[in-house]
Amino acid sequence: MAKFFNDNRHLLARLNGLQYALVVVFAVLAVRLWHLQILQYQEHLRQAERNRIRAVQLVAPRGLITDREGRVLADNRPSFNLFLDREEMKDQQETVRFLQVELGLERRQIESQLKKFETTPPFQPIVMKEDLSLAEIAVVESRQLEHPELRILQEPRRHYPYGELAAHPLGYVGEATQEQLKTKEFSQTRSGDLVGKYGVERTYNAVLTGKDGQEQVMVTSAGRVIQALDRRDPVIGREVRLTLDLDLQKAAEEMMAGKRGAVVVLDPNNGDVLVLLSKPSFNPNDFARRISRQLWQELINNPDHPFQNRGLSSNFPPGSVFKVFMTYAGLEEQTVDEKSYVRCSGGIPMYGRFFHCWKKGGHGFVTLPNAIINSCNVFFYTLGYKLGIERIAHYAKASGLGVPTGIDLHGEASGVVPSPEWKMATFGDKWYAGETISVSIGQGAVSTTPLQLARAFGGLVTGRLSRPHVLMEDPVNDFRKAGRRETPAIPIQEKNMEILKNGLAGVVTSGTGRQAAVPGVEVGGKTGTAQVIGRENLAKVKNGTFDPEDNAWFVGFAPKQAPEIVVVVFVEHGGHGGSAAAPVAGRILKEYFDKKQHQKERPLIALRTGSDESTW
Amino acid sequence: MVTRKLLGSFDWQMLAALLAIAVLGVVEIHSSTLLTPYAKLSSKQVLWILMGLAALLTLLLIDYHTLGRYVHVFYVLCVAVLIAVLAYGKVVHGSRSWFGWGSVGLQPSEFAKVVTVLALAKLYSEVTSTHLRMTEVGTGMAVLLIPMGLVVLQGDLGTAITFLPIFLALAFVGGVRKKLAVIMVIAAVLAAPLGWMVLKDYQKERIKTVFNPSADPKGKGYQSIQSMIAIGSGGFLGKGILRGSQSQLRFLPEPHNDFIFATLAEELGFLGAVSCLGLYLFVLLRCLKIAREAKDRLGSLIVVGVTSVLLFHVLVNMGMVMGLVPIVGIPLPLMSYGGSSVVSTFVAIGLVLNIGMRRFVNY
Repeated sequence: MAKFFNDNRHLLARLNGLQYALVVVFAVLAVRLWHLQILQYQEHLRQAERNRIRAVQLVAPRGLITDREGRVLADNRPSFNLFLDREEMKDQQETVRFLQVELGLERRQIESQLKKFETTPPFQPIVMKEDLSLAEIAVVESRQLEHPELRILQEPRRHYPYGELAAHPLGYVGEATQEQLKTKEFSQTRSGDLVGKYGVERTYNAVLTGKDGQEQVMVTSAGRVIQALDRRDPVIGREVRLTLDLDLQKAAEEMMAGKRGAVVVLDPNNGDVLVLLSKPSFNPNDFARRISRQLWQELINNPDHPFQNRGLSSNFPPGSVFKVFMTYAGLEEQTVDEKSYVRCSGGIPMYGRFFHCWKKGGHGFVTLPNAIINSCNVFFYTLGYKLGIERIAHYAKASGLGVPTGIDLHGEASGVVPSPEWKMATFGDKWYAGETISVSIGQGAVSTTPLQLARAFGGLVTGRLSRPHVLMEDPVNDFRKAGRRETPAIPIQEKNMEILKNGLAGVVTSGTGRQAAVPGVEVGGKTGTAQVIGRENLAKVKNGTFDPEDNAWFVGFAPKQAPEIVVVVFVEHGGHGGSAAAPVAGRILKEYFDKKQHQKERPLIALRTGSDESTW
Repeated sequence: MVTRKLLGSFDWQMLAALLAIAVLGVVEIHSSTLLTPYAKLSSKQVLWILMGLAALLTLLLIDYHTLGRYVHVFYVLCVAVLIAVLAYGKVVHGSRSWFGWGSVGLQPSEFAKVVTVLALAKLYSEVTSTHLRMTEVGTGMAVLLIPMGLVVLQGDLGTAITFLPIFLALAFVGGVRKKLAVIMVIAAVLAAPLGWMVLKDYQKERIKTVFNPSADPKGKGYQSIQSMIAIGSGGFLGKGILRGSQSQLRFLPEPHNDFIFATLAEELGFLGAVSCLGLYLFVLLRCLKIAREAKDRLGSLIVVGVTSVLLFHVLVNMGMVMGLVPIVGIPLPLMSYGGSSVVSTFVAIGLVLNIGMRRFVNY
């Protein structure tokens, strides 16, 4: 069969050629292996390590906020949050579509979130949705293979068990803003972290903030966690114990439901703030991270300004409550004494103008105590006339009006104690004598915050000026340097203080503040009804299209002999202080003394201590 | 038929090398699938190897000249089967190239390659002149293009390409004129843009990716990069069996199949990978030796055809996992998981051994 017409040598030559090609090809492959496995070994090893080990940030829960008895006002609850790992994102369009269709996110919202984190390292996952429902978790989990970039992490979320209660002093948390991140206060904070934005959450943010942990996990290419490698547990933030008293706060909230205004309750001896409330309020749970834009806008644009802490951030004319400070000035200056009297005929002409008393027929002959008890304007017009604005301002300031109290909360207003210098500096105008008369009954330019009023009032009935604070003097709060809180003395003579207190007690027993009375307790107080016609509404009032109710005030203290509680109630457009504000104060005082009695009978045994019983 | 003399000429070393490669494959399939739902694949692969071995041994009994005589029958049968697959086959990974019975699949295109080798070798063994004539080149191309075209129609471009080297190698060794070879190469280059238009988008992307894999590391370049990371991170000695993170954690696509060499290189290191490369080189060099020593032109050409297919598979598959050529879904002979591939490879090498065994026989 061996008929070789074809040249066999030719075939062999070409076979040799094939063999050379073969050897060359294998040499190339071997060199490539050398290149990859020996020369670039370190580089590839590093990449392989990074491939399978992923760091997961474990968010530390914030510290508890508790009331003075250790009852929890703010804690944490678990929340399932959806994160996007941009390193794993293969197709942004597809991811966006998924988030839109399956999780109901808005395209604009997704894009703005992506933009916001554009400059952060891509391995840092960004939150896309919080508090997923079980159904949403199921959807994401079931599509994990197609969407390895989406991850659900369980994180602690701030929780305020009482919702709106004490929302203003407690405050809320939110994502740190870019501006905040640049400040020294937030030097440890990363973009996307939660920080205290308001209230105690803000003041004591550094204490409440825990230490985030980290977990290194081995993952598959689909992002499934196979094994935890290394874990540094998060450390919960420290507990912050407040001076607030949940029982009293609840009572105050109840009484103020549906109203606008503020309540401040102080221990005048040490400045402990027992109650601080402002209405209308907001629910800080809505802010636990990124509030939806819509709700935020609603709250910002709300004409009632729910974010404003009326207890300390707004100035209001004190009205007749200011007569307490007039009395103080008059007594100290010996312009008046217990026996001084004027005749009230329903008003008095001064500086070419007729100044009305609130009682049309007049009070007749009124002595100082009666002037306080019945809040006679004419008496105080006369007193103001005699004192002059300079001396009024001096004593008002001495008792703490017109300056911030220095409370450990942000946004405090300072109030105004007017004087000729103040007017010149503020309006470039000279002081008119008639203005002094208005100031004498707490109208005109004089204004104060409820908190300031509480402090000043407490100062007059105890003789010492405390510095209000919400942070409890308590072993729990040992982050705060120990040291007595200063309570400087107020220049008030003992006998003058007695005269003043007697008058104030009369207000509650037989005067305008009878609704603040508490059986078995000697309560003193003063009502106030301040006219609130702003310049902008003056015209409307005149043509009858606007009929504002007056602002109602009540300041009270008890017991008379050794005051341990001061209550200030302010009801915006509430009407008369005696009917709108005094009952609120009465209820709070009653709650306070009932509780005290109860505790005396059966001492509190189990106080909650520390944060070992952490809810998270 | 198989005499003592025949057995004496049998290339035991080559069979040993084949089995060594196959065993490496089983080990790596085992290692890369143990923690997955595919954990049973390694024992199935053993079964395929045994079947392949049986096919190989059976094939030894039949003189390759007999096979040559009936090659027309095989060829027609083969084309018929390919058409049948096109009509009745089931779709796997986007190509209709499988016959399936339950979980068992058969990929006729793998066997079609062996038949094409036989047919072309037979055709060019009967050439009487030193150089191939144009008509012979044309006939050869037709013999190639019919089965290859059918595989293209199945949508399995990767497998279709593996038909090409059969013709190229056989035409080269069979005696195509250098001038004609050059013209063909130029024609191929000119036709390339046309081919580009035929390619599907994902195929184009794959080709682009070879030139710049990191352009889109999570997308099209992903497989290529992960494969290179796997190989590179193996280092000199490797991470050890069952310890390759890239393959164990499935960063590597198809770690038991097309990317099995990356799995091996990761777990057994440079040493293991080069040894494996050496085994393949040994087998292929042995093939060429048999081609040289073959009794006649038919034998030589069959061996050349088989060698070219194997070489092409090894080159493209390894080049692919090392990031040298585009991602093409073609298996590494004897190592990648897959019954059709394993058995057809054993059959093809059976032909080579058959020819080597009969080099001293007179007829």
